[in-house]
Amino acid sequence: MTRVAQEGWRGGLAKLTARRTTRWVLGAVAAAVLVAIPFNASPYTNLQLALVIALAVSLRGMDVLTGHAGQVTLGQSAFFGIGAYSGGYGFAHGWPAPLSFLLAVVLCVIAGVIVAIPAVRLRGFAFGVITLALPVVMAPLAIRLDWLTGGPVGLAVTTVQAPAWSGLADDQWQYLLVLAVGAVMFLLAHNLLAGRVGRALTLIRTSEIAASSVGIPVQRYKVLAFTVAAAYGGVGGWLYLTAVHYIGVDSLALTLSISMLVALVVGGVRSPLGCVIGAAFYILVPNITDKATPGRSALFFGVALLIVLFVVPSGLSGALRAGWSRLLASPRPATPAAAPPSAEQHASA
Amino acid sequence: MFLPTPWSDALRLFTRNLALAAGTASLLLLAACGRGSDATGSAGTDPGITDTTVKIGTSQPLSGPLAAIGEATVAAAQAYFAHVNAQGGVKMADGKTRKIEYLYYDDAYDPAKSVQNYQRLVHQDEVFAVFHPLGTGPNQAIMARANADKVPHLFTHAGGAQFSDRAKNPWTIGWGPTPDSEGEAYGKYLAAQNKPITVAVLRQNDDLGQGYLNGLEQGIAGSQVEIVKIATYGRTDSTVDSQISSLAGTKADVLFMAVVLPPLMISGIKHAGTLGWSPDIYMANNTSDITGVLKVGKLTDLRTLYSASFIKAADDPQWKDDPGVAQYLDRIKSFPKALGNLVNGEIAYGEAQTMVAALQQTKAPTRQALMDAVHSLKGDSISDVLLPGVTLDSTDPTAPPVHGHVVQHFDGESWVAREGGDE
Amino acid sequence: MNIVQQVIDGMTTGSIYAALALALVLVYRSTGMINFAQGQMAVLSTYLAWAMSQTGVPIVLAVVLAVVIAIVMGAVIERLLIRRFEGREHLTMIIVTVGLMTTINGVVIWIWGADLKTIASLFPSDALGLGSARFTVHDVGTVAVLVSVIVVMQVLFQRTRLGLALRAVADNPQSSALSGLPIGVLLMTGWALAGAVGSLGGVLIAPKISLQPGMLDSVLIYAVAAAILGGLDSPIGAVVAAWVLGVVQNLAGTYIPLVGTDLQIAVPLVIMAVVLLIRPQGLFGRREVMRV
Repeated sequence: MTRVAQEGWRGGLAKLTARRTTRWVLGAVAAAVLVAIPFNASPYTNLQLALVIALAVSLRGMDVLTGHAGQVTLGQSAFFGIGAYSGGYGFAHGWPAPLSFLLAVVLCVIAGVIVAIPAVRLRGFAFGVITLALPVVMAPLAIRLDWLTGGPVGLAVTTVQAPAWSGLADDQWQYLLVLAVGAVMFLLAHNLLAGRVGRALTLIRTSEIAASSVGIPVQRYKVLAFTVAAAYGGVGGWLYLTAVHYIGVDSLALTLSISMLVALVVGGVRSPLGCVIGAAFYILVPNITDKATPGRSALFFGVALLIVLFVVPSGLSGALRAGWSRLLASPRPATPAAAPPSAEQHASA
Repeated sequence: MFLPTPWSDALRLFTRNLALAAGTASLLLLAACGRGSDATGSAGTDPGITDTTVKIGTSQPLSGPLAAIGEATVAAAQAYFAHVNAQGGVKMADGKTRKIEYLYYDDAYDPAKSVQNYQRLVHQDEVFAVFHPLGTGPNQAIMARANADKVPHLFTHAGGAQFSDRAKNPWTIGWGPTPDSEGEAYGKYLAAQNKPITVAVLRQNDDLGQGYLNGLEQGIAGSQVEIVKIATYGRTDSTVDSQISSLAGTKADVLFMAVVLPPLMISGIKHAGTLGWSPDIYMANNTSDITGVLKVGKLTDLRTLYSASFIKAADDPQWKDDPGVAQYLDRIKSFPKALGNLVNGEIAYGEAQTMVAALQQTKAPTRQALMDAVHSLKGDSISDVLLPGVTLDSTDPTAPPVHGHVVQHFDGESWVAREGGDE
Repeated sequence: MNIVQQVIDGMTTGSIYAALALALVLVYRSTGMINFAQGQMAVLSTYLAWAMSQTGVPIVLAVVLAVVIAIVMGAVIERLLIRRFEGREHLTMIIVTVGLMTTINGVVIWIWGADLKTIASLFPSDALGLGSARFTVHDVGTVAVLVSVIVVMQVLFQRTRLGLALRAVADNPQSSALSGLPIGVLLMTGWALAGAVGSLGGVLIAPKISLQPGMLDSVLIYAVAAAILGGLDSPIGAVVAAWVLGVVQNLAGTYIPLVGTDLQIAVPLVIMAVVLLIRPQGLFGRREVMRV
């Protein structure tokens, strides 16, 4: 009796969530919640969420390169920095926001292509290590170019301000702007990966030889992936600056790139949700553990990271998906209710 | 340049979706409506202060490379506030006695985290004032927000002159003297020797290092002292051997170590010894403490060390009977982390004493009243860890409250004050 | 005169990178991965040596004990932590070592605090002269230890069955398992050996740059650069590359005004980039053969 009833609601749920309209409704509800958050939340919450989105955009770019194309990068924070400095320079000199945004993207694309063309000749660890050089050189270079970057003191700027008609506080407006740009960036990445490019990158990751044997220009696709990562890093950095209002040498610690990679893996690679979760992990976990035991946040971050990797090696988003399909699957494998999500992704790809 | 297939593919996709996405986003934005103004406190009282408590908060590097300094800073401030609270609290000028609640969060020296901590302290914990955050970047990131929010941002644990510029940032004030004034103290001391002296400088490649150098140049202006070579290092360098060797080539009479990282200060001085170069060494005050640098680095046999200070170092035997220092050592007994970095711990203690003095003179439970008190501090009784000859006076709108440096020579046990130009 | 001194200074700085690079190479050679926690493991065992020497244990004995503990620690970490992630993506393994690095750092700060400690050197710090250039007995001793470690490693890997087996496992775990090699024990041995070399590096480096929890953070980057530049699987390559990096960094910083001492940090990395672009297998590495 009960089992039948259970299977009933499980099956119903599965059918419901598989339906296209339901997905649209769910998406709309999620969007509405995200948009509604800043109106009741404190500026502290809004800042944290804006930072999560900014970082998630940067991670999404890394995901294209590291997750999909399989090239581990340790240089993302350099592009993040370029984006933030572009924003800082633009706002400090009274440029309209879109102009410095454009500058961030253009600079990162140029820098990305320049670095990528030689770097993609390397494989495995060598590629990752060569990209590590970027953030290392970033700090002394930013100090040297102080007329551009504010040097060691950095750039403290007023960024986007809420227009009077909106009746919003600046932090709310900035959160919404970051959210909107972030949404666009995620949509773009989704569309890019859903098509030919996504398939090519997957093939390159699984076997470069197979990829070239079917006529995929491996190097060109790798350069593309690297450049996309760089551009997303730049946009993420610009969004970060919009929320934080400050960029300086202290903001770009050597470990930032590694932290980004950690966040990506914790969230789960090859997953938009994973990027958001990873970013949230990086931004929020230290703030939460900090409350419990100030001064031990690094230790707890490390332990939390190991636990996550232990328990859910495919990242938190993978665990969520697995949990969801387990919820839908009946105790006895009666119907193949939900196909494994990864397979589903491939199918739609 | 032709567009290879993947690129044109990507471009087409991007443009096709851009319009749709932008449209959706702007719709979402339009749907928004305002939160209204941030409610703050009841009438006549600002957030963070009640009739019995006053809440202040800070952001410190409690993890990462600067953790020792951050922990010492927090511990020493805690020690003094605990003492004040044990006496019942601080008696403020509005007649009420309040206990001090001191909150602190870790920023790992990342300005983005400092800003989050600031938002958390001000908008969530609702502190009355932000007190002694550590470092240039973190304070720089906080300063504009504090001044926009009209939240007191007091006694920055960072020496930059920009933190004591009342015209630009009326809600921010520093505490200890700027690196420029420390450099100037060395410069004036050297100039007063009235003889030709050559100086080699090793400085950190940031505003701090630049400040020391600028001050030195100002101090020696028009004298027979000449800077013969300047080398820089970065904060992530593991040694400064190369720089020291290159400076040693000048055989200068004086080596000014504007080095603020203890390991590099120690290894740099040792390397000069290895090279057989024995100039008079002027050590940045921040990294010249007897226990944490000289003893750890086994430099106590050198008789060529100079440093300009403004506090009575707690580990210096000459102050062991000094009531202020004795009390300090007694009060940090339950907060041993203050000993992790003596100089910064003791400076933080001085900052805490100044904070309490400011609260004592605050005439109303408002942030504006606190700032009025902060800007009229004057007198020797405020902090009892300052060196004789160093004054505390916050009425100058362009300088941090603590004024003056005493150039000292290390005699093997103590940092002994030098009169300018007695040689 | 100054050039010779700069070269010697570069060698001593390079030796710091080399000590850690050797441990990285050991892990790579026996397990095929880069261990980002290597530096923190070395720091932990150096703290142990320091703690023992504080209780009156002579420094040489303390170092020996610390090395022994490091061997056990390396083996335990491999068995209890790394083993669980075996066969997973490269990326996950890297992140596991990053998590380990953060955790050990937190533990060290928790136990001993973050302030500087003095650890006695195995060698005196008396100055020696070579012409007009100066260096210390400690610097020479460090080089001597590094060279002995290279010799031991070379013998181990080239002349012993254990070394052969370690190489086989790193190259191809599946076929090694099929041919009956005890994979688990061998991987543990690789980590244990790397732990030993790393801890030796730690106690050699600490007297020079002062013992503190973050003392190897930036060293690690150069050590990785040196290990890769040297070809990742070559101990000699790693040490030579580390010395080259140290020397070139100093010379460029001192004699090329555009670089200056502030940007000399970039020099080793640019060198690494250029070399890798010309010789992707590194200076001393074997060319990787692509297999389908």
